[in-house]
Amino acid sequence: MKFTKSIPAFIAAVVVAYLLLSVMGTQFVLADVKSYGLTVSLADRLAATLHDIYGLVPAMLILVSVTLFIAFVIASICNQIIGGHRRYWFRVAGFTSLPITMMLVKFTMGVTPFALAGTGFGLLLIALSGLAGAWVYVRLTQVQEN
Amino acid sequence: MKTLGRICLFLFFVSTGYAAEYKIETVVDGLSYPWAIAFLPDGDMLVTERPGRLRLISGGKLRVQPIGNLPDVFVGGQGGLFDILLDPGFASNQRLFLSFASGTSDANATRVISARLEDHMLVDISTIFTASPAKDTPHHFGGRLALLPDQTLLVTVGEGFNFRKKAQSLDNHFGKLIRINKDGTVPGDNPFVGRDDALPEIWTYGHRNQQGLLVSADGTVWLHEHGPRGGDELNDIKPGKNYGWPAITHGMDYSGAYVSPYTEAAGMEQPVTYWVPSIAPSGFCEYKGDTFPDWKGNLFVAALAEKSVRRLVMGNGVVLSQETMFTELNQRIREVREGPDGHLYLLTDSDEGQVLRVSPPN
Repeated sequence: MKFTKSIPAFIAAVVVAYLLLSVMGTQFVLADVKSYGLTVSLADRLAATLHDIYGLVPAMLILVSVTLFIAFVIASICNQIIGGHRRYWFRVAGFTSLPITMMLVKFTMGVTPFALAGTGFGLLLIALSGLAGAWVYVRLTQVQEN
Repeated sequence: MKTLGRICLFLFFVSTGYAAEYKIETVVDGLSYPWAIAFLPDGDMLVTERPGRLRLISGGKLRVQPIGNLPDVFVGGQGGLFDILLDPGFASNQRLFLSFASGTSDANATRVISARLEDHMLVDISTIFTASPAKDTPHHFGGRLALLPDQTLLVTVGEGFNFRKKAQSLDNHFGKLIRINKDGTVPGDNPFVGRDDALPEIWTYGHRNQQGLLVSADGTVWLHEHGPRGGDELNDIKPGKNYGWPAITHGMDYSGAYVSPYTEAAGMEQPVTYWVPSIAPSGFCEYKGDTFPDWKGNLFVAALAEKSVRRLVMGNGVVLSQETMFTELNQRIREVREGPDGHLYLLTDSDEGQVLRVSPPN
């Protein structure tokens, strides 16, 4: 019953993390494009952002979903076995899981297919996306528990 | 009714077109990821294998023992032994050029050596170019070689996948077409010689992973390069020009996101043609022979992903039409070259790679 109730919270967490990751990824790439001397208009920026939100769905939405699912399961187990504040376990899991996944992809493929993951600052932004997803998940499941 | 039958028969032969006008024979098999081929003056052939071997095909048979004394080759990912180019004076000086990945998984680069072939060994080896800086990805080495009419050497260097931004700056070799003398020195008329912010070997920039390069009979330098997801390009190369990657492209990132939302920009060259979806071009030749008169002057582009060869009919510097050929092989084609006999030679990209000869049916 509790598990069934947590599904909408998980979906919300994935959507928030994915949207943040996608939007920041686009701005990161557009900053590169500007650095080559091109002018990026607001209309182009908005169109590119929407394009990427749609375009990243097959690869990145699935990657975020699987990553956060595994991370939240581990956080839940740690909370039950070790104890402490549940929200901290989930925030740590959210913050660390997506950068770890990106690094695993780089380790296995030898390359970084998502441009945002190519720099330390980009990895930090990815981590913050996961943290935001975890925050949403904890918040929504707490509300449900109350 | 008879007339109708004749028309149908005529249309059948027209529609089957070139399928009836060539045969494909296996010259040798048992090669491991053959990458490039060179035709020796005595009719023998040299074939590079990406895992770091140079093989001799003599009298139609593959010599078991690879050519000896090759330098250490970094073999990993897309890295390995790449192109081979004979010096025009090979018959008298036995000199050749090889490109390959050198270094380690943590620090590798495209390198070119000059050497002589003597008694089934390389001798007098000298490194004439090493791309800088080294990279830690085993992808996008480029590695094609060609000689200009003035006997300077062109070398393609890919952008290393993770270093695409560097293709737009001139202080490195990532995503560049390099021009050097055959001894490795820099020609004084290279476009960026004398600029403090540029490496002098650079001839053009803004490339991704260029695996096709040729100098045509009329002196045009043609280069094709892999795009990401779509956006493979055929480019007409002019020294000093910026070919746009990754600022402009018709391809998408593998993730599905934009590399750039733009396909054109001031100061950046447009491709002569591009392929979406990707055909993954690798290998290139201009047909100059008489064996297939209809193909004279056509460009042939080997395609890995499409498992084909594209025949490009050119006119006034543009592609007038394209034909997708040899799909019946169902093989990734790494290289297409015209042999001295006027036949086409194909290299198939697999651990059971072959050299195939395309010749007239009779």
